[in-house]
Amino acid sequence: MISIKLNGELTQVSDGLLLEGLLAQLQIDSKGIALALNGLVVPRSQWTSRQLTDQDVVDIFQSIAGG
Amino acid sequence: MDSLVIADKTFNSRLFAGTGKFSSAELMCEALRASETELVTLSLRRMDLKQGRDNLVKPLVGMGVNLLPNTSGARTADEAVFAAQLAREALETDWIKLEIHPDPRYLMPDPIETLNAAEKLVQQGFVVMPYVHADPVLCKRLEEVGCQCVMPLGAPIGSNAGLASRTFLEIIIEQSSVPVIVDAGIGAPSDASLALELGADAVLVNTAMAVSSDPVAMARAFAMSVTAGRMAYRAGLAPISVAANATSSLESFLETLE
Repeated sequence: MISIKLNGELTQVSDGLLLEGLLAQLQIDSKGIALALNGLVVPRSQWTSRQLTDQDVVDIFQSIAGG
Repeated sequence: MDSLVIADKTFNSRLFAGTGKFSSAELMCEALRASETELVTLSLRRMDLKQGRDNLVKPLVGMGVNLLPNTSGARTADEAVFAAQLAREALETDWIKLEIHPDPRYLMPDPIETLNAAEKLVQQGFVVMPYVHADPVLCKRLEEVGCQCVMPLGAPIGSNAGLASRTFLEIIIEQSSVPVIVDAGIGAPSDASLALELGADAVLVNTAMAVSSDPVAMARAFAMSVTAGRMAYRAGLAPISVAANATSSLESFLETLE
């Protein structure tokens, strides 16, 4: 297991987990979602290839109502 | 009504709508349908993973409207660029409503950060729609760096104060080579109509519809006002004069009495 910071909270996940796998574990539908890894936006096309490593900072963003 | 073209999209409706402040997602969708809008705004926020997710995107995509993410919450150009990149991935669109307002009390857009961010975003291939004060100089500068339209405010966001910036909007409209969309402050259909009569290409309305006691009827009223305003602009408004100008000649009637 590795330790990542997920939306501000320390979380344990399995080593080498893909971003796509993280979303699946959290049961988050990827429609309308964006991901940042260590402060950089990760293009959707890389969600299936980017693996998490220890101490990664992951932020998940969603669309909300707004003007 | 004649259509409006921005970048690669053609709009039959000149009413753009925000999605905030509606009491429910169902009412929001019903009102947006009644408004006939083809472009609706959304924001992005970091998820609260402990709370359930309210997926707004699905019903909006189901309605067939175009989505326009904004960068609200950004206080600097760098934050806005980050927000735009997130939005591009989240909503799979290059369109971005650029808004940077560091001051939460008046939500006044920061002109310097906005111009800096606009330039960077244009270089990254975004269709940039900047929300700005009704500043004619800034609007020309934004056009020069490649923004596809400008979105000057009528009055502060959510104020419903109407076209407080009218004189400057008129200058912006007169000078602009890109579409001018009046954003913020439009509180009544008459404000929207006036903006279109003055030659604005479209308006963006949110609060005035969302907080009405009947958002669906208000949305319909806004749709009609925008159509009327554009029609009047195209027809050409009659000139304003200080003196009266009789609509029929009085002379022959007076002669009969002599």
